[in-house]
Amino acid sequence: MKGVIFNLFEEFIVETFGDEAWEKILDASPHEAREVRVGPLTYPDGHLLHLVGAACEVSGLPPEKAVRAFGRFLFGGLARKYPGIASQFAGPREMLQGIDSVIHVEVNKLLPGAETPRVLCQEHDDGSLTLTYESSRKMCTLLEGLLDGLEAHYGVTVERRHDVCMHQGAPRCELRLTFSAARAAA
Amino acid sequence: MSEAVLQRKLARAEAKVRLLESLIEDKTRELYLQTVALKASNETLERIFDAMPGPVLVLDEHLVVQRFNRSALKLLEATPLLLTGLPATRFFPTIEASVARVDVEGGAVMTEAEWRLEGPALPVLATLARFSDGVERHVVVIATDLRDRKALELELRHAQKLEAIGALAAGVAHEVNTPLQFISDNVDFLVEALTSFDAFARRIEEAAPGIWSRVSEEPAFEELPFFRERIPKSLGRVKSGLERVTEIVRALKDFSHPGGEKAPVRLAPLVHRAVTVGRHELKGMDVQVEVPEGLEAYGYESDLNQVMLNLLVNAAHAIVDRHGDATLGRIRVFVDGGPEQVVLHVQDNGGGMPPAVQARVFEPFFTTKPVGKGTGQGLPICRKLIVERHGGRLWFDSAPGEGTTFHIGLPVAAAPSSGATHEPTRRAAGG
Repeated sequence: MKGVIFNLFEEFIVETFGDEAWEKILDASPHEAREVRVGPLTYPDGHLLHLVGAACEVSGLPPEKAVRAFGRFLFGGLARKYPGIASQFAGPREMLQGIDSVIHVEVNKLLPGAETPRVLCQEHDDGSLTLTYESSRKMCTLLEGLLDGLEAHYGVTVERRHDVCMHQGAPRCELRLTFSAARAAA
Repeated sequence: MSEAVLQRKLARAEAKVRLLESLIEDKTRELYLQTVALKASNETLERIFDAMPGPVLVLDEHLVVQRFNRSALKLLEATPLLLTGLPATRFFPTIEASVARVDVEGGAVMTEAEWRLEGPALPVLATLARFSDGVERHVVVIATDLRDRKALELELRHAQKLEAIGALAAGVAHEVNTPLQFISDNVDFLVEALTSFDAFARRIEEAAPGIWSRVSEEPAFEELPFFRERIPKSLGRVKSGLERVTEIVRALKDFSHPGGEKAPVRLAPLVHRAVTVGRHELKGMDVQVEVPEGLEAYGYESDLNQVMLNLLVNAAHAIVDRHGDATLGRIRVFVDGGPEQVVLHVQDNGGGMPPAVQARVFEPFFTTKPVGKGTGQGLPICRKLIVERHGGRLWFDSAPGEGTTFHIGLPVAAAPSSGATHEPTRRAAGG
């Protein structure tokens, strides 16, 4: 996992629960998960899981809820950090369609060695999209959080049905997305 | 925020800065090394591009020359200054049609074209393809110089023509030989019969003196004394003419005999044969052959026939060019050499060659003869036959206004036998 994700996680905790909470999380984490990290370097995924686990203990949030909330925050954080990437897309639909072909290509230019998941889109006649997510990390909850962030960023509501899930033994997750009219920006 | 937390945050921030500094240093070093490697790689590619034996040109979207290699400069006999920014249509007039084909057919398109910048027209096989550097579309043109191939094709056609003529000459010689033989036999018979009749007439005259004079005075037989005197001479001339025709036919047959294997070749008959076959060109000239009868060289007889004839005919032309009168021409063919090599010399008293001609005399298609009179192929082919086929040498000495001597160095097959004659054979070619 790239350092930028760790650092945005720290920002998320500090913004949501305060500096003291982050110190507590660090204290509650194993020694190796406390190291200082910088954006372009790669760190073990397990360190993030330790930090998330500690964050759940400290905040009292269940892990799923914590990860989804982080996903929402992560979208905004990444959009702020890399405005040139987000601004390439006319809307949420285009952004989702460009995850693999544009966003992950750019991510790999900025952060060589990033292990990006495979995210593909299929359009349907009724205007809905099927988003297919495939990753050894199985972080579809984080993806849902990112979709929350997408809604907030573009001021739209994206109804989703997550009927096919890797956590239920499927080889990949499939999310059927239906876009509603624009709403006031969150 | 408590002071303790602040200090921990500060410590982490400092550690992060140190980490970033070290990261920047690593990346800077990496960037430097990669830049150096990239530069080296670019230079290597540039050198490969420049050293490519085939001419390569890179054109922009408007078919203007942007880059080229050394071979392209050499082919077009151009300077970098002239070629840079030059519209390719200036030397490749049909390029627009070829590029249109590339756009329709895709991939690479090959086309034969004539390129001409400032020198003579160049036959070229041009391969064109499009490529994009991410910013602009380009056309790359790879050329193959077809001059050698065209020359070889011409040489082959020439050789095929010669072969056909040779085969025809051999056929004609064979056909002519049979009637020639019976004409000759009948002339011999007539000479014999006439000799017998003459002896008979002499016996009559002895038996009856004065009878020949009396009979000759009759009007019907008044030309008998004249016939008696002239018919033997007339038949002698017929026989001499027939011998010459027989010699020419035999020389033609031998000359056009297919090359076969490399073998010892007797040089004296070879030179005489060439003189006989080239008799028409050598007519009236004093041709002196000083070649020992037993002397042999190792080679292909038909090739050596061709070389010798070519040198003799060239000598004859040089003589006519200088003197205008063939009877003033002198050609001497003589030999020397050592135990391993025999050198045949063909010396003429023609006009000689100025240095500019001497420098180019073995170049294919170079000729000083008028259009239609010479192909410029003779001497290049001779050199090729001697040097490449025989491992020998062909060179010359020439003095303008005095004459030229061509020298053919060939490996020796056998030394002249002890009894070989070395008496010069002087022949007035023609008459």
